[in-house]
Amino acid sequence: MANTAPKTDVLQGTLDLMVLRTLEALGPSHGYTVAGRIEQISNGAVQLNMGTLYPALMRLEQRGFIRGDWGVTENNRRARFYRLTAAGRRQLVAETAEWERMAAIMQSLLHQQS
Amino acid sequence: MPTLREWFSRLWHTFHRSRRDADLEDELRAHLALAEDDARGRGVASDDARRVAVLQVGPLAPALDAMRDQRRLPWMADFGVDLRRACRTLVHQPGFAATAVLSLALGIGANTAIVSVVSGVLLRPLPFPQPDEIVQVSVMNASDPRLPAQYVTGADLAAWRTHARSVRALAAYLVTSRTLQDGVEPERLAVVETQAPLFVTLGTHAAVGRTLREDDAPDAAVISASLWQRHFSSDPTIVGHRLTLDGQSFTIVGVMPAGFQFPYPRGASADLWSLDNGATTDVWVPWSRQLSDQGRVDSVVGRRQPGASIDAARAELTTIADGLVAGRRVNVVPLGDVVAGHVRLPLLVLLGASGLVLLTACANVANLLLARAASRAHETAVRAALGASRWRLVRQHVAEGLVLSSAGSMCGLLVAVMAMPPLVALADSYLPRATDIGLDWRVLAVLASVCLAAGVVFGIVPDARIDLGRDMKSGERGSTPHGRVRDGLVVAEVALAFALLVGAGLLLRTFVNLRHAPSGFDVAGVLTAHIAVADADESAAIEARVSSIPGVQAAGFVSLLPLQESGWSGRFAIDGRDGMGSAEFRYVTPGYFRAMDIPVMRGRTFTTADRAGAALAIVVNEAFVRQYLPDVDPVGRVLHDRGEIVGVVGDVRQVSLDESSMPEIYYPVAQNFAQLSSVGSTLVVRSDQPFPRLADAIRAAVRDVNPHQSTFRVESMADVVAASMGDRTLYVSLLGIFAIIGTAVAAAGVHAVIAYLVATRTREIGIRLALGATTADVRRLIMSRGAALVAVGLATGGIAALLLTRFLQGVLFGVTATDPLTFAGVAALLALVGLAASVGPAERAARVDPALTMRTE
Repeated sequence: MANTAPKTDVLQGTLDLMVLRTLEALGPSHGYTVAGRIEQISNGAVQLNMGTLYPALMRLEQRGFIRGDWGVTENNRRARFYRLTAAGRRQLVAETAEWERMAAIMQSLLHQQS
Repeated sequence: MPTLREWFSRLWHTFHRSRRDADLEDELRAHLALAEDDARGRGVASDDARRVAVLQVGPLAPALDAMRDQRRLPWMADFGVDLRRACRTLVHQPGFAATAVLSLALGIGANTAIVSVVSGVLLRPLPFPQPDEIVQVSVMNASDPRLPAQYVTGADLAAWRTHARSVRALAAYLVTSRTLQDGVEPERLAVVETQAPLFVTLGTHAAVGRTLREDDAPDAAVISASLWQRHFSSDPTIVGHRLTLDGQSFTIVGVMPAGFQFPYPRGASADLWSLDNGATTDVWVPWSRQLSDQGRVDSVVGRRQPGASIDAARAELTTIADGLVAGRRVNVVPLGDVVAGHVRLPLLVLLGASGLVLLTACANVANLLLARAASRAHETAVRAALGASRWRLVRQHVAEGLVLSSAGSMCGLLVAVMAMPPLVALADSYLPRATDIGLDWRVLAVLASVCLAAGVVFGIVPDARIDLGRDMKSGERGSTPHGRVRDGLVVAEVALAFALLVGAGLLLRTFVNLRHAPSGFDVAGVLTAHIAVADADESAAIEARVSSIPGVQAAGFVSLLPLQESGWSGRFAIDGRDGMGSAEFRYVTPGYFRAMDIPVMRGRTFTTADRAGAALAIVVNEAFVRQYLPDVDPVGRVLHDRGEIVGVVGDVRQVSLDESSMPEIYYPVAQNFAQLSSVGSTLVVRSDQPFPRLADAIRAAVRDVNPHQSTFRVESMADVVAASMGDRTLYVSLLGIFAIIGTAVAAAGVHAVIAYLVATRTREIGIRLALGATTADVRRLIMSRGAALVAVGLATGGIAALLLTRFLQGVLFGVTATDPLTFAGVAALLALVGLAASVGPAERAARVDPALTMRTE
C-alpha cells in the first residue's frame, strides 16, 4: 500500500471528485450509471473497472460523503443506489475550488512566456 | 488523506461484519449484469455477453478483494487472528502462562497498592487552601536540637506577630482532652484550644454557622461534622446549642465541613489524650488561659507569605526570638512534613522494594518469552522459509507478549483491588492521612502500559535474531540463542530477590531487637486505663481502692505513659548551679513505680506523705543524673521552685524503644495536681488476674469512688508497647511479603531456565547415558548449572544489597545495614531455594530413556 501512495493519491483525489460531481449531476444512481456517465463525458478516455470504482464508492461512503441503499433499476434489476449527503455537497464545493485553483496554477506554469 | 470517520468505519468493520461479503458481491454482480444487458443491447450474442461485460468492467474477484481491503483494516483483522492464536498456544502451555501472568500480576498489584499509599500519604496536598504555605513553628535549643524544654512563649508570639514579614496569621493551639457529658454515655473528646486566627491561618470556612473569631466569648465552640452527626443528628439549627465539656458549658457557633481535621492526625500509635474514637479533634474552643509573656504556647502554626522561603522565615523568626531570649533556634516546618515527614523514609523504602519486585517480575517474563522463542526458533525459521514475512512473524510474537502482559495487568488490577482494603486498614492505625488513600488508577495505567511495552519488546527481540541457515539445520534443534541473555536475566532475578530478602531480614532483626530493647519497665500483668480524675484526692482514693482489689500488686497514676510520640517537658535550675536544664516531666502517684516495676536506684520514691503542703519532693531518672549531676550524690539536691530530689529511678524509654531515655523529673500528683489535670491521667495496675476480669474490677472500683467517673480505653501495657512499634510491624510485614514474592518469582525463573535447558538437551543427555554416564552424573550436570546461576546471582545480589541497604539505615535499630549474619542467612536461604528449583528438572533429566531419545531423533 504505502509504496504506491504518491501516484494513487492523485488518482484517488481525481476519481473521488469525478464520482461526487457525477452523483450531483445525475442524482441517486448506481455504480454502473456512474461509470457509464464518466466514460461518456470523457469520451471514453476514462474507463473505470469495478476494482477501481467500488473501493472508491466505499471509501466515499465511509467518509460520509455519499450514502448507498439497495434499490431496483428501471429494468428491474437490484442495484445499490448512491446519493450525495450534505457533507458530500460541501466536500464537492471545496474540492472543486481546490481543483480549479490547482488547474489555474498548472495552466499558468505550463503556458508561461519565457 | 483518510478522514477520521473513514478510520472509525474501517475499525468498526474490522470487528463487525455489517456489510457482508455477500452484499459486496451482490453489488458487483449487479454491475456485471447491467454491463451484460448493455452488451446484449448493442447486439452481442447472449453467449458472448458475459465475456464482453467482464472485458469492459474488469473481473469480479480482484474487485471484491479490493473492496474487502477498503472495508476494514486488514492488518488489524489479521492481528485479531494472531491474538486468538496466541491465546490458544498459551492455554496449551498453562505452566508457562501462569508463571508469567502471576509474576506480572504480583509485581503490578504490589506496586499499584504501594504507590497509591505513597501518593495518598506523601504526595497529595493537605486539604487546606494553598497548603504549602502553612507552617508549624517551634523553638529548639540552638546547641542541641534534641534537648527538649525549649518552647514558644507568649512574648515570642507577640513579637513575631508584630515584626515578622515572612509569616502571617500566626495562631497558637493546644490539644487537650475533655469529657462530653451531654450524652447517655460520657465520651472522651479531643478538644483544641486555639488562639484566633487559627481558622484564618488554615483558610477553611465552617459548613454551618461560622468559625471562631478573635472577639469570641471564651465559651464559644466549633464542632466537627462527625460530632455534629453523632450527637446532634446533623441538626441544621445547631448554632446556639450548648455543649458541656468537663462540667463547663459552651455555645456552639459553627460546624466544620466533613473531613476537616486540625491538628492533622499523624497516625501516631497511642496518643496523649487516648480517645475512644481515634486521634481526631471534635471541638475547637478559644484559648482558656491568659497568655503571659513567659507562658508556654504549645504549638504554633502560621502562613508563609507567598514568595518567602522556609529558610527566610526560619531566619527571620530566629532573629526576632533571639532578641528576647538568646540561644534559641526557631524551626519552621511545612505542615505536610509535620504530618507525614516521619513516614517518608519507610514509605520510600517500601516503594523501592515494590519496584524491585516489578523488575524481578519483568525479568522473569522476558526470560520465559526468550526461552519460548528459542525453543521455537526452528518453527520460526521454517515459516520464514515458506514465505512468511518477518513482519508477520514479529506480529505473532508481539501478540503473545501482549496477551501475557494484558492478562498480567488485569490480574494485577485484581491483586491491587484486593490488597487495598487490608492495606488501608493497616495503614489507618499507623500511617497519617490513611483516609486520603485510594486506589490510584493513573499508577495502574502507567504500570500496565510499561508492562505492555515490555511484552511487545520481548516479543520482538527474539525475532531480530532469526537466522534462517542456522535455525533450519535440523540437527541444531537444540541450539540456544539468547542463552546469555536468559542467564543474565535469571542472575538479575536472584540478585533482586537477594536485595529484597536482605532488606526484609534487616527489618525483621530490627523488629526483634526492639522487642527485646530495655524499655525500663516490665509489661507482664500490667493493665492501663484512662481516667480523667477530678482532683488529687480522687486519684489517691482510686489508687487505694484499686490496690485493694484481690490479686492486684500495685496501682498508680501517671500523667503520660511511656513510649508516646508526645511528651511534656520543662526547664529547671539546680540550686547552687548556673544555667538552666531541661527534662521530661511526668506526674505520678506513689504506686506508679511499683506498678511499672521501675527500679529505685537511690533514695526513695513517693509516699502518701508527699502531699500538698509538705516539702516539695521530686524523683529523677538516671539519665538526669548522668547529664546534670554526674559528680555528686543527687539525693538531697534541690531544683529551684520544683523540690528536693528524694530518689533516683531507672531509665524508661519515653518516646520509643529505639530512642534513648532523656533526663526526666517525676513529680507527685498530690503536690502538682494543676499540671496533671491539663495532661490527663492514666491508671497503671499490676496484677496476676486475667485482664478482662481485672478491667471490670477496675471499672467497678472507679465507680465506687465516684459514680460519675468513667474509665476509657483500657488496654494492656504490652499492647501499648506493641502500638509504639506498630508502624514497624507494617513495614516489616510489607517488605517481608515483597521479599517472598521476589524470591518465588526468582525461583520460578531458575526453574524455567533449567527446565528449558533439560528440554533442549534431552538428546545430548540420552547420548551421555547411552555412552555410560550414570544418572548421578546427569543430575550433577544439571544441578551444577542451576548452582552456577544462583551463585553468580548471589554475588551480584550481595553487591546490590550492600549498595541498597544503606537507605535502610534510618529505620534500623541494633543492627547495621551490612549485618554479616543477615547477609549470610539470606544467601544460604536463596541458595537452598535455587537448588530446590533445579531439583525437578534434574530428576527429569536423570529419567531420560536413552533408547527412546535416540530413536525419536
